[in-house]
Amino acid sequence: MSAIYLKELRSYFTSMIGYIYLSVFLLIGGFIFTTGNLLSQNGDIKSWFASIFSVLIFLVPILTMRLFSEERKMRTLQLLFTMPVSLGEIVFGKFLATLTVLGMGLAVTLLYPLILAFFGSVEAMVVVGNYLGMSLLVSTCIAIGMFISALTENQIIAAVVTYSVLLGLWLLDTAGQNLIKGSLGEVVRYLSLTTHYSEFTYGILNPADLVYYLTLTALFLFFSVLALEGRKSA
Amino acid sequence: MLTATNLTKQYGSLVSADSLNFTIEKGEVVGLLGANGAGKSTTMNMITGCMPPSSGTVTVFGQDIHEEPISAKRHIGYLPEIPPVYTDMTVTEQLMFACALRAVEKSVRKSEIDRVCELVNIGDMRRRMIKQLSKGYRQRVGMAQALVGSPELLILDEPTAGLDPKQIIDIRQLILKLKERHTIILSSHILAEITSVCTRLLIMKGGKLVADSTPEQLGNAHGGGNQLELRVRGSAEAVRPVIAAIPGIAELQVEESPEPGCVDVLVTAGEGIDLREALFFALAAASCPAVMMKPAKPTLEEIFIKLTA
Repeated sequence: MSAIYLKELRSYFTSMIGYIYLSVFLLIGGFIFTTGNLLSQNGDIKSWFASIFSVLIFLVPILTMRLFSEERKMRTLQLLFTMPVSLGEIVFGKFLATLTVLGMGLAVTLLYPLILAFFGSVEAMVVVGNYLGMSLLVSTCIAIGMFISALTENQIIAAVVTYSVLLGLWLLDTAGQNLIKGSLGEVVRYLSLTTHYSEFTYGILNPADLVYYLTLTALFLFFSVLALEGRKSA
Repeated sequence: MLTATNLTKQYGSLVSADSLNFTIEKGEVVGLLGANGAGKSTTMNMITGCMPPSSGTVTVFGQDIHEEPISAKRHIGYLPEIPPVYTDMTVTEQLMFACALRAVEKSVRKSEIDRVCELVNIGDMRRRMIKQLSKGYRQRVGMAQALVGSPELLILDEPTAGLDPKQIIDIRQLILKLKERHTIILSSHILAEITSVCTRLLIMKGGKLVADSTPEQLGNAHGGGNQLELRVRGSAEAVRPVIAAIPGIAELQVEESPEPGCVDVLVTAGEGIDLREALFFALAAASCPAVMMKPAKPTLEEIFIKLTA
């Protein structure tokens, strides 16, 4: 698995996608922090996290669209299928590599709460909760993007469909609140990525929310393995 | 070393491999022959574990390739028809990746890469990006990748497809060198390539195995036995009785030859009878010189066409 992980991580930076992602993410993140916190004299880091997610659901598909689509197009998936590595190792290696690139961007943004702490007070648990929630959220987004990438040879389709799915899951909260009434609305809200994220933003580490994200991540990684099994039979 | 038992691949009503049964022993160089669409690549994808069969099994060193894929695949090096190489890597990076996937010890990876690069003669291309390489060199990188870790069984799917004549000769010489240490399964529809390197032939047609034998056995099985082709200067009326009088003739066919003043004769002798001297002297005594005499074994092309028509 380490071979797959290292190869994938290296390819993010030999193909420029890694640099482009980090540049765009940090540029937009920095802009939001500067205007939303520094210039507005707002010491609440939660507002930055709330804004950055809408950037991430647009950028994550750009990282995940090539994970399997490109391999299928270049016929290199055949190499992985005939080498002594399991499909699980292939999926998890690529997942960890993408998570590492996203993690690099998030690691740089640790400067923001440090800057705010310099000028005011920042609750440590709020910062921990937001970063943990964000990490779990992006893990789930990567797993979903990876699964969709395994279904198609076309990277653009993979990116667009992933973005649509992530946006849909994000908006389920609104749909459950305003469009669907009663217990069905509650169920729909429960499925939303937003619902399970909100408590992290207050520094509350609810095990149910942890389980939700971890389960969804594991489920879509498993679906990715199944999708690859299906590719082998085709 | 490798056993395929009732190997079948079906896509709906289309059967691209139909109950294939064969065993490959250590040291063999087996040619998998067939026209386009016969099922060669499908068969190779199944025996390398790239594609699961609809039914049947493939065992490599006694391990089922779909039940125990990791351990079975360690014994196999596969070069597909289109070499699976990453164009954004250099040759060295690609081979290092292959070493890592094959769990080659880190301490010997560099020497292993040196070895395979020397074998396939791509030493001077090591630092080049694969996207800058020609098809011939990419094929060699794919071959080097298949050789990394020195797997006992090499499976090569049309290794010379799309190459120029010199590159084809280079690959053929490489295969001859490799057969000293590896068991090889090689697919092609170029018969000259197969006959120059293979000790055994599997011929496929429509997903089925229609022949499984050595080239000599194939020739004997389809060659009509102990036959001689002659071209004799003279008329059919003069030549026929001369030859018919020779003891040991089982069958005789005489027809006009494209060469003026000659007839073409096909003589079938009895089992174990050598008629060459008797024919020579009888025709010479009758003043009907034999201007050509050769064994009438059919070419592999003729056998292939006969089996796959």
